[in-house]
Amino acid sequence: MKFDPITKEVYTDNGEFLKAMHCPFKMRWDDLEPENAQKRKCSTCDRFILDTKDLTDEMLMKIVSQNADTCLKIDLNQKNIKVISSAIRRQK
Amino acid sequence: MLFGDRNNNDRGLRVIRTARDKDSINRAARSGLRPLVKKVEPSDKIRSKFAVVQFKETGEIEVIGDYRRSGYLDADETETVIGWTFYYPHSFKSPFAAYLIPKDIKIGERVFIEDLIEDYIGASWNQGDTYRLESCEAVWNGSDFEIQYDPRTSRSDFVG
Repeated sequence: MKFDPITKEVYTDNGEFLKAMHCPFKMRWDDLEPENAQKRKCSTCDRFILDTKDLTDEMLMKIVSQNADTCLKIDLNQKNIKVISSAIRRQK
Repeated sequence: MLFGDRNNNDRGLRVIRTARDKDSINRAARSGLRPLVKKVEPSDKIRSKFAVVQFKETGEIEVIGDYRRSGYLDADETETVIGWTFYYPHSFKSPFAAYLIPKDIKIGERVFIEDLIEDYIGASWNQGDTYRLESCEAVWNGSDFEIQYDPRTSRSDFVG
């Protein structure tokens, strides 16, 4: 998968848009309650956040297509991420 | 309080909004908020990198931001037309902005600033890229906010 840390947009390796990451509560991974090795729970909004480090593009596409609001965690150093950053972020 | 909690709004703090142009600043002032106007000054500590490779046959380009990607590109098929370059990756509406202060704010009140005007590093990557902190807690001292930025925060993960 590809990730742009400036726009926080996530794409497949083929460039297909998956989602733009956004957390209105600005949560951090360390703030979340561990559920298992792959997911944690946010006590503020009661959602689960999936760690993407072991997910393939196909798995992620399936997850996001079932629920576009699925929250993700991406670390820039994880092996299945290609970081892209060609954009300028324009302030709202 | 743990340092790790400082950049979050998970404790129900009052949210301070930011206006980023003259019209929205004046609109807020007319609605009873006090704009605290500041310069928007990009920091050279915030930087992202890119390189552009071009496919020799088609002329199409690929923009890459990850040193690891270079190793996957076929040198016979591609040519680097712009080498690794760091840049400031944000663009703001105007060179000034304002925090919109409620009239009843108390000295010492801890708030959550939703859209920081100042540049602080919110995340960093071991390839040299640093990313701007969007939001942070702050304490009102009567004339300005003391940003409760944790300089020890060095993260490379994103949630959302």
